[in-house]
Amino acid sequence: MQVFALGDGGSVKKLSICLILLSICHTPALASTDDAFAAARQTLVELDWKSAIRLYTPLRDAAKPGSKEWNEATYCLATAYHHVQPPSYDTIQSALNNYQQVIDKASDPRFVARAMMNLGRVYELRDYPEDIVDMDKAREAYEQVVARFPGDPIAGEAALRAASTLVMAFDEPNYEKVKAGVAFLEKWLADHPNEELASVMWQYIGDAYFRPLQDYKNALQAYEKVDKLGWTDQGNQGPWYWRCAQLAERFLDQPEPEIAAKYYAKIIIETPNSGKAYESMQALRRLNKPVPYSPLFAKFDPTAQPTTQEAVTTQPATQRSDR
Amino acid sequence: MSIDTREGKPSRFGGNLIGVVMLVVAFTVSLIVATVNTLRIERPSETVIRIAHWQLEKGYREAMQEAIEEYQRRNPGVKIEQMGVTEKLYNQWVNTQLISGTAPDLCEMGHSNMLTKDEYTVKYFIPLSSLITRPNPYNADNELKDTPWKETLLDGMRGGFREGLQEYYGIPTTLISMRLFVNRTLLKEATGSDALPKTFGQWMEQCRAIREYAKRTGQERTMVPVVSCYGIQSIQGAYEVPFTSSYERMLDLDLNGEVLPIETYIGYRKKQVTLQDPSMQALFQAMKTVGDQMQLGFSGMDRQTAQFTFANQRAAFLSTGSWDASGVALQAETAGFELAVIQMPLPAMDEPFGAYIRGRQNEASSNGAGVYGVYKNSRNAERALDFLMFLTSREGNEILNQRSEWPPLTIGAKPSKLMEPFQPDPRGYNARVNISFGPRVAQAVTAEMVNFYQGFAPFSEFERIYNEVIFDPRRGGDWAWWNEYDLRRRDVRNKERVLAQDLALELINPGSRDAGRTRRAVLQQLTRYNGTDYLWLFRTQREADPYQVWKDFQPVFP
Repeated sequence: MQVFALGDGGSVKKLSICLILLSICHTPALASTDDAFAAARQTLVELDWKSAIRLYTPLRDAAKPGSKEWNEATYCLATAYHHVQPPSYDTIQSALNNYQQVIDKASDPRFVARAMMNLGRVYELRDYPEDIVDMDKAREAYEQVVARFPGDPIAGEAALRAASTLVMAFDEPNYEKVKAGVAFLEKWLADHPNEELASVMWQYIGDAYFRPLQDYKNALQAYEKVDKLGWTDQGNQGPWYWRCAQLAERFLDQPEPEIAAKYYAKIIIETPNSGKAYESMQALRRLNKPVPYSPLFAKFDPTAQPTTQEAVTTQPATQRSDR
Repeated sequence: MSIDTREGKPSRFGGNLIGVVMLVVAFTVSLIVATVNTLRIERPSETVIRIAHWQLEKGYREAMQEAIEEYQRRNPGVKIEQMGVTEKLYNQWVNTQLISGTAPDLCEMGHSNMLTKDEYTVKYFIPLSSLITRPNPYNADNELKDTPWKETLLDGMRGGFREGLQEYYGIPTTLISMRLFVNRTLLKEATGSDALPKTFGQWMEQCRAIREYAKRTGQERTMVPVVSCYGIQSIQGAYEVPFTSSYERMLDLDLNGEVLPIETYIGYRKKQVTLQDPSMQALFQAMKTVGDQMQLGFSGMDRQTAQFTFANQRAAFLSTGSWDASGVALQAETAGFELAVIQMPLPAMDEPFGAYIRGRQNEASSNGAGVYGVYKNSRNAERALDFLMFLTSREGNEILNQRSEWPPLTIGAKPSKLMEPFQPDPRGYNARVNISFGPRVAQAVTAEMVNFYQGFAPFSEFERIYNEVIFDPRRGGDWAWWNEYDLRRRDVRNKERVLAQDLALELINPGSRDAGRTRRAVLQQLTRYNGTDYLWLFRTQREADPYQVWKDFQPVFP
């Protein structure tokens, strides 16, 4: 072998042999670790949390804390404990412990930020029957994400979650928390004009103004902003279009027929399967606005009230000429 | 032992030799066939796509084959093999194929847990959301050429959407709808005219004439005017919107364009809607009139009996769905009567009940059926998806559905002559009063209402029992409200799992996940408020403390 030819003594030979043996031993180990990570990731793809716990536990134990492998294994282990079924006090505690380890030791700030967010998710949601929801603690966790990662996109998500812990209070009769949540989000959007979740936030604000605040003017204004930015749940925005049209036509002190007509037209063009296209056509005629074309209605006269359509019949074999 | 004919003595090898030769030949042939098949799979000279389904109804396989042949003609080097498996076996067969990693490239989704439950779907099938927003290239020569694939189908591809996963995992290929089948020959014999009923009044008049005819011809014990494959509920389904959609303005609290059962319950408690309202009474009395034209004790009639009765010309009208159409048409042809298919006739303005009709129920939001998913381990997933594109292009969908006599799903695809009346009519309304709030109330409503329609009990009895059940604190509307709240809360928790998966995989491999999907899931989760909006609604609309009213109901976790 080449290494022996290059050697100038016994020590070089021994070193070479050691290196070769080491590489022989180490290469399969590396391949096996990669395979193990690939298999563990696949369990996430398949939402198979039990297997994720089984596969990520040895990977986490074998990795050096703070290493790339450790970050992934510990974070995913926490996630798996967070969502494994059936949920229990113990599984959620394991999730919290692992998230906390990520926060304390992970070298990658993305993992740290997400683990901090997930602490909030654990406090906010009821995970098992006796679990106690703690909105204040959840909000605290979200606010910590905003404070520690102010320039990161996750800050917007954390701000939205923090605001939602207030809105979800639905604290009638004065709705102070709901209003505080809405005000917080509006300020956030004013301070962050390029917020990635702006459309989601405006839709959430619009919903809160609509219900429980019953402030229809502000609700419509918020939805108008969503419409400009683009609706997040594309294809399923039909009910919101209908709500906007109803608000504009029926619920404002000063009705806005132009805005109502815009949303009726959008229902016909963009969400004709929402079940409201026919009524939107009627509404546009009522408002003396043009009715846009929809291929869905190509074979039907949308101005005609459907009764019994012309039936198609099949003749018995004896009377049919085509057979 | 065999006989050696030359020597007249038993031979030691003669018979055995034949056996050995046969064995060797069989072995060699098997070896060749197995080798050829293995080579075809391992080193195919052409791309082979396998598509499995359970649609063994008349004409479907032939229709699929026709679509396949057209696709193969356009795509040389591609071979599509369809595998029709009976409904009973499909479940076991497909499960085995999925587990052993040999599932067909395309599987019809349904029947098996592995094809319906979210945890298996993510394991075995390809998510399609990112692929269905582009135009379908097979529509390049029609006006859908620039429309996203998803929007080229009448149902907006909702038939393939998995709510729990927030993802499309299948492509629907056909539609289903309910209609009224008419034996025109019998109609003519009974009434002197084969004119189809254009209104509810005309329909009922014809039913009475058929009763008279049955009496005249001594068939009063065996002949009835109307039979239904799915009871009177399927008929009532077509009338609820016409009679009750006007309540939408009053009852639709969230302005989503529908009256949810919870909103009906709120309205019922506030007496905004009562069972004695003229329009509600009109609905019930109209359905009672239909019930009078069905056989005594019709609730016991199953699908097969209803079809059999109609096929044997012992009923003039049959209520059933598009999936039965070609079978019924064949039976009509065999029996020698003329068949017609119509929508349920509505009362005209000048007829009884007509004053309470707002308009027909639209069918714009029907979900597609015949949904196919792409197997994750398919060697030719891209090609398999391409075939689904063809199958749902205007031309491909026409071929599949015209030949199989099913209603096409693609916008503008022409149906067969028989299927023309089954095409969804987008005109009309969608909101309706739904008094069946929660499974426990629904059970009582179904049973007691049918009793009334069958003439076994007066309406007052139905109303009494309904009020008893809906106001029952343990199984009525309050329980159903808690149940909705609990479902909503759990739905948020389940979405958290899907979100967690997305976020973890994105951390591991940045840019690998669909950010739009994550945003959508966040929005849907947020707008369900962990169910707290339903608590607020209870406090403000029901004017009671939900924790007090629901204190005995325990959440049941999965």
